[in-house]
Order: sequence, then C-alpha cells, then structure tokens
Amino acid sequence: MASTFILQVILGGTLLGGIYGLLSLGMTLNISLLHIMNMAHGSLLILGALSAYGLSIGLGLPPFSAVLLIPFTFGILGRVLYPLVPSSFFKRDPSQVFVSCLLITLGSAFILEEISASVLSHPLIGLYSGFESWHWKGLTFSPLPIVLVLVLGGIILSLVYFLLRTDLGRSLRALAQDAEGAFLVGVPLGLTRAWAWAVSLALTGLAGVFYVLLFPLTPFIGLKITVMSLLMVMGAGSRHLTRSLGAGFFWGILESTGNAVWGHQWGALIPIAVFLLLASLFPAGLKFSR
Amino acid sequence: MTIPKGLFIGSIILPAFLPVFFSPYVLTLLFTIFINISLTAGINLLWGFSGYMNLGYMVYFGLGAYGTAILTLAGWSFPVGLLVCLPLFSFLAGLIALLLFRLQGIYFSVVSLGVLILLEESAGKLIFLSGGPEGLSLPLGNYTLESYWLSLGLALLSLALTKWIDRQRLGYGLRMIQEDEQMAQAIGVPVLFTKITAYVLGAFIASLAGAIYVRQSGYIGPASAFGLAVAMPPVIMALIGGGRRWWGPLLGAIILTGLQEALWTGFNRWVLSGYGIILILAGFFHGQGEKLLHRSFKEKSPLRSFFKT
Repeated sequence: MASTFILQVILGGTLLGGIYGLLSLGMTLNISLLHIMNMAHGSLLILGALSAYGLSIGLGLPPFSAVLLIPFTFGILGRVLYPLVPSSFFKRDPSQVFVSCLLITLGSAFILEEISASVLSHPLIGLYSGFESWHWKGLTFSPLPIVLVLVLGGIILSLVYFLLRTDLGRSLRALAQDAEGAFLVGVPLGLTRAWAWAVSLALTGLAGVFYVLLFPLTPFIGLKITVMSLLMVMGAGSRHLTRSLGAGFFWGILESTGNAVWGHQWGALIPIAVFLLLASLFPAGLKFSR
Repeated sequence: MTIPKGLFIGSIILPAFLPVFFSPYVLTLLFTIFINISLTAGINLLWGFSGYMNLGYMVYFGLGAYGTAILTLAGWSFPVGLLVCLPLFSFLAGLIALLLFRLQGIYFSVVSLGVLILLEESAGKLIFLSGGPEGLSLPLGNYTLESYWLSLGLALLSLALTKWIDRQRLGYGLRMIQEDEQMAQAIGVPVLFTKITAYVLGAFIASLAGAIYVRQSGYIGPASAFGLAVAMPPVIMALIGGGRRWWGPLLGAIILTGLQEALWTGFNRWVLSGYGIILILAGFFHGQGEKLLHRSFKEKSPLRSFFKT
C-alpha cells in the first residue's frame, strides 16, 4: 500500500514537475534575458494546448504529433515576431519598461483568453491520447503517464544538455547571469535574445501540449498559471536556467504529495505557500552549491 | 501644485448633490468610479512614491469584504464590523509587509501577487468561514445612497491623503527610496518603517473599500474578492494614470472605469479583447501621455493651471 502511494506521488509529481519545469524555464528566459515579466505566459500555454486539441480534433492528426509540431511552430513564430514585440522594449527608457511590459502582456493575456474561450464549444476540454488501459488480474494499468514521463524525461534531459553543452545554451546562460560580461566575451546579445524568445515560446507551447494530454483544461486559468510560473522563477532565483527546471520539478512533487495526502482540494495550495515562503526568506533563490 | 479654490470646493460639493439628479444606475456607476479611485490612490501611495508595485494590493480589498460579510452574517452592525476589521487587517498588512519587503522590485511585485492567489485558493476551500466557491450572500437591503456617500468620502479621503503625504516626511522618504534605497538608508531614512507605513495605509484604504463594496453588492466570493480579473484593473488604472501626480489615480480610474462600462454596454462579446487592445495601446504609448497632455493645453486654459505642478 505504501509503495503504491509513493509510486503515485513520484509518477504524478514527475509528470506535473516536467510540465512546470518547461513553463518555469520559459518564464526564466523571459525575465532574465529579455527583462519581460510576461503576464501572457499562462495564456500562451493555453494556446499551445488548444492548438494541440485543434490538430487532433480538427485535422485528425495523432495527439502525439503535437509534441513535435506545436513547439516547432511556436518557436518559428517567436523568432519571426521577435523584432516586432520584445525587441521594441529595449529601445525604451528602462524606467518605463516595467509598466509597458505589464500593460502590453496583460492586454495580450486578456485577448488570448477571450479568443481561447470563443473557439471552444465547452468550457472544459481534454485530449484523448489514444492509449488503451491494460487490465491484468483485476488491476488496471494506464500506459499514458508512463509514456509521458519517458517523453518528458527525454525532453528535459535534452534541454539540460542543450543548456550546458551547446554554444547557444552557454550564451543563454551567460546572458541570463551577466549581460555586460556576456557581451564582453563576444556573445551576440540581439541574436541570443531573439533565440531566447523563440525557445521560451516553444517550451510554453510544449507545456500546453502535455497539459492537455493529462488534465482537463479551461481557458480561464492562464493568469493563474502565469503567477505560478513567476513564483517558480522567484524560488529558483530568476537568473539560473537549469535551477528553474528544478524549481518546476519541486513544485510538481509538492503538489502531487499534497494531492495524495490532503486531497486535490488542498494539494494546489501547498506549493504556492512553500514557494511564497521560499521567495520571501531567500530572495536570491536557494543556493545548492558553495 | 496649485488648485483654484473654487474648483476644489466645487469638486467636493458637486458630487455630494448628484444623488438628487441621477438614477440608481448612474449612482451605482459613480459608486464604482469612487471605489476605483480609492483603490488606485491606495496603490499609488506605495508605487507612486517609492516605485514598489504591489500587484497583490486587492488582498486587503478581499479581506475587508470577507471580514465585513462574516461579521454582518454573525449579527454585528456595519460600523462595529469596521471597527474590528480595519485595525485587524492593518495589523495583518504590517506583518505581511515585513516578509514582502525582504524583496525588491519585480520580486516584491511577483510575491505580492502570489499572496493573492494563495488567498483566492484558500477562500475557495475554507467553506466554514468563507462559504467556499459559492461565497457569502448578505441579507437584501437598499444601501445605494449610503454606499454612494461612503465611497465618495473614501475617494476624497484617499486622494487627500496622497496629496498630504506628498509634502510630508513620509513622502520625502518614499521618494528618496525610489531614487536610491541604499542612499536613503545611509542618510538616515528609516527605509523599512517608511515602506511598511505606506503599505499599511494602502491596505487600510483597500479594506475599507472592500467593506463598503460588500455592503452595496450584497455578495462576495473567492473570484470577486481575490480573483486576478478583479485584482488587475486597479493596478492598470494606477499604471495608466501615472504615479507622479496626486490626480493620476483620479484620471486612471475615471478613464478605465468609463471605458469598461462603455465596452460592457456597447458590446455583447469581445469585451475582454477590447479591454486588452486598450491596455496594449496604453503600454505602447506609456510615458507619452503626460507630454501630450502638456502640449495640448493652451497657455490660457483653466485646465492647464489645474494640472500644472
């Protein structure tokens, strides 16, 4: 019994944590590299989820095709749209950027929310993955969480490799930690920021695909997801890309544990309270090394 | 800033007599505007002077509303409820501020927003206290006129407080914090105390606004108290009105409430999108408004002397 409970917490936590990790990394890229507090972040996740839903229900494509198609499309769109939106903030007076960002991204979030709500026939949607459950000696096994854990795990490991080992990953980390230093050692600021925006959108879209494969979704939770991802970033210390993945995982494990111990009613509250305390008590984020 | 005395007295006396001429609909709209002016001025007390944006400001609006509703349902009268709620939530605001002011800038804003989400979630779950997701409904009663006077009084009080603080030790301290917090500390400004005072004053105004609001509307629930859709408009009004002048909240609240009402009455759908477009435009043209305002007023315009600093 205890082992089933632990397995349930670990599996649920890993799935949730993987999705939150993608979300948190996307927001960290926005904040640390682009200095944008993107209030539309959660609404973009909803858009990713809805696009996956549209691909599957509207075009009849297999649900898992969205795992490739959505982040690719979001990334390309982000790269193309970069000169139009995020880069325009760098031309502004720094004292005005915070207010401008807040107004523009909040306005975008409201528009995306209404568009999402208007294209849905039902206020709550979920996507059937196509996997049938197995029945064996009275027990039921659902392969979806296991497949998703494997796919998400692969993506997260690839992301860690990308951040730690590739040139673009190193440039992103350098720019997140010290823009001036990064510039001095030859990191192309404009190009790296453009790719940061593209990667951020791709990750958010991908998080949306996983979200709709696992949970029922309503278009009205975008702003709440944004606040959650902001808290994860604060918990990780906002300048650390790999740590933000960890913060997302930690959030997922906390929520999964809360759900298992106190029920779904209270589960979501636990990580919010813990991260609020963490952010207040450790303003620079938790330090795991010397 | 100099305000013509006649205009100042007129701006107080005229709204006081409006209930004689207008329908309950107009009075309710004016009530909303006054509440929004109070909330925007409350946000401005901290943000306008010190640059700290409290995105979770509506926490205290929700607490004031819930506190009053709970005490009213327990049989307490409205004034006694206020006497209990206001000091209690001001004290609570002081404690929360102690934690929040360990953070600066965007961190402060984000964590204050997190407190709002925490309370929204909690209000939905603490069924024995808050009524859960259904919220609390108060006994029916016609409080339109009474609420109108109270909201007008609160709006005037909050604007007067902003104007008064501007030339007080508190205002100078807050502005010094905005310029350079470390320097302010070095020259002897009690930085933490100054920030907490502004935060608690804002919380007091929000709690009172929440109490007046729930008496008028007769209902409060997690979404209408702590929901992001309710929490963001006053912040946006403060941002659009600008924080540097005492009349910024007045301007932001009147413009945004008017636009909201026009959208609600003019369009059946796409209200949120219309609002979103307005915000995006405001964001793109942020910082240009004041220049335009000054350019567009002619030298002899009475408005120029009103807005001149």
